[in-house]
Amino acid sequence: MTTAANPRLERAPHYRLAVGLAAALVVCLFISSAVTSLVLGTIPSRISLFGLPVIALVALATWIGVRAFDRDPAERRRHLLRAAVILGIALLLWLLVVDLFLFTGDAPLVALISALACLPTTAFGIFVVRLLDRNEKEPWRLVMVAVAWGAVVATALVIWANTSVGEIAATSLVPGPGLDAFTAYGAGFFEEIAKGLAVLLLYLVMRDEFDDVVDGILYGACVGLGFNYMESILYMTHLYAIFADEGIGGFAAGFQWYFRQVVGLFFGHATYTALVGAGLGVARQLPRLHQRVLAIAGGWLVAISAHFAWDAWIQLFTVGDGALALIGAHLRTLMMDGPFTAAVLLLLAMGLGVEGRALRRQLELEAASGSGAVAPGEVGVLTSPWRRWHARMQVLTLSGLRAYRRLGRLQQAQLDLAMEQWHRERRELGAPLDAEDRLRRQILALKS
Amino acid sequence: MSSGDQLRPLYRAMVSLGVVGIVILALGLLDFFSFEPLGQRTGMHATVQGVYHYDARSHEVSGQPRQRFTADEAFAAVVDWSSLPGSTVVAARWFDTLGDDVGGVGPTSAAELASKSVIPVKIPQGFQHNVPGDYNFVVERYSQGQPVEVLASRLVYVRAAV
Repeated sequence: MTTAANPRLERAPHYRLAVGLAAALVVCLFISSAVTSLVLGTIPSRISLFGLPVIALVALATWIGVRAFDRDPAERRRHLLRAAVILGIALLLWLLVVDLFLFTGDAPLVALISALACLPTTAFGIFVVRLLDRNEKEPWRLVMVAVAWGAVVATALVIWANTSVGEIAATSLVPGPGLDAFTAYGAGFFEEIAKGLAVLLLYLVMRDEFDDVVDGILYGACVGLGFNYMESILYMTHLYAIFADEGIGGFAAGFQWYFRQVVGLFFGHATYTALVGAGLGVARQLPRLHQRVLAIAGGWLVAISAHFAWDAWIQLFTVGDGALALIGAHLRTLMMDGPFTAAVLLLLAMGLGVEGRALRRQLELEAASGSGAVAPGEVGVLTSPWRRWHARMQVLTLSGLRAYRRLGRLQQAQLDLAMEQWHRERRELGAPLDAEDRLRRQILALKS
Repeated sequence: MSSGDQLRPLYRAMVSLGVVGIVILALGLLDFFSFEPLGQRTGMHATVQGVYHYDARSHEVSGQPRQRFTADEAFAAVVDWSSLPGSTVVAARWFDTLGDDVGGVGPTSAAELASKSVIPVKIPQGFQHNVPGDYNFVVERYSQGQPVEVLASRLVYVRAAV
């Protein structure tokens, strides 16, 4: 992986902010876990049992972390990083355990079947979203970090907040539209903050993999898909439990699966968090602080309001009876969430347009420079996803898988180089980049 | 076109979407306050004696007050209406986990409800049992035909029967 467009010296303020944010999150997660454990009553013993691997991982991370200080500085960094990764895995595992107990309740088998049913649809969603990032694909590891955050961390962050707000509201507000509006405010605010934090952290820390509005939308949508995955399991299990006595539990769970994992896959959470990501993505490209703040606030506000509108006003769209109800339910999703999804698609199209034009220009400049990294004839191929794929397929047919993968790496490196140069043109760099030279050398090596 | 010019439409789009968001959230506030009007707190409290096992044939409650029931079990809340001024217009309602109204009395004056202290949960039409999940019992004060204040509430949990 080539290090990139933001030299370390330039990154320090972002990193400090990210570290502060991460510390605040850990405190929130600790409180969330403690509150959840208390609420769950009989479950702590089971949590302790499943928490043992977590304890072991924490112990291992501590041991590696402490020993790291006995090593020379070059080695130390690697060992500290290893300790941090193990600690991160422990945290995720712990949250997953808490989530699973909370979401599955008394029906772990139903939850397991629900989880398996939601896997292919969510995987399809992630695949499609990543496919939309047509010019320069983001690495799978970051895409999956975004999904995992949405599924595990964001859900853990909002469990106690949503539950507390719901209980306070239920005992003090008159049931009806007022109460619905209040709980919708809580859900919109807490859930979009919890999901959006993942995109914000990526924006602050992984700036070399967070180039523009397209990347923001991609990461945001992936966080939303992860959240939707866990929420689908929750609702399927819950609705099954409600209607099992009447013999229609399976139907109720299937109905939830269809509307959350098929009809609502790209609407709802994926759209809301994509709007947060779009704001951060646009901010990534803006030079002035006040513009960045406005763009980020705009994305968050519209995401919270879209979520609020769905939760608070869904009852206003009556869906009718019988067969008409099915059509009505589809239309309701389209009418209530459709405009926001359309806004995301419009922002994506605009972002792809800006990105595509910029990459073409940079590739043309690189070709004209005579460095050999990009030949004039390659520009047209590199700026068209279809022609890139076609070229790889031709190589696959003629020279086999190894050549196909080599060409894939070459195309990626050439696009990375163009992206680096675009960042430099936008004056996001404080110093000349070694990364560009390294990319050129890598490209020339691949070409040879 | 310069890089800044290219980004201007995106920036404006995000700011416009933010304004749309503010408008929606402001409409939400109007919606909230139209159903939860300000200045309606009287400080009154109704006394809910508890939620008990209920016999649908004798229309009477029995046993100790509880917070957990099974879906095939009938239960009812008992309210001491004398804890409120007789002229206060009130209602008491049960809401199941889906937010549906599943039984209640009123709205009428607290004095008229004196003989209706037992308020059972009704099984929803087409169902054999109560719907499992959280149930919320609420005593509401009415003003101008609209519920405006919660005077008491109780939460109970109903487990599946099977």
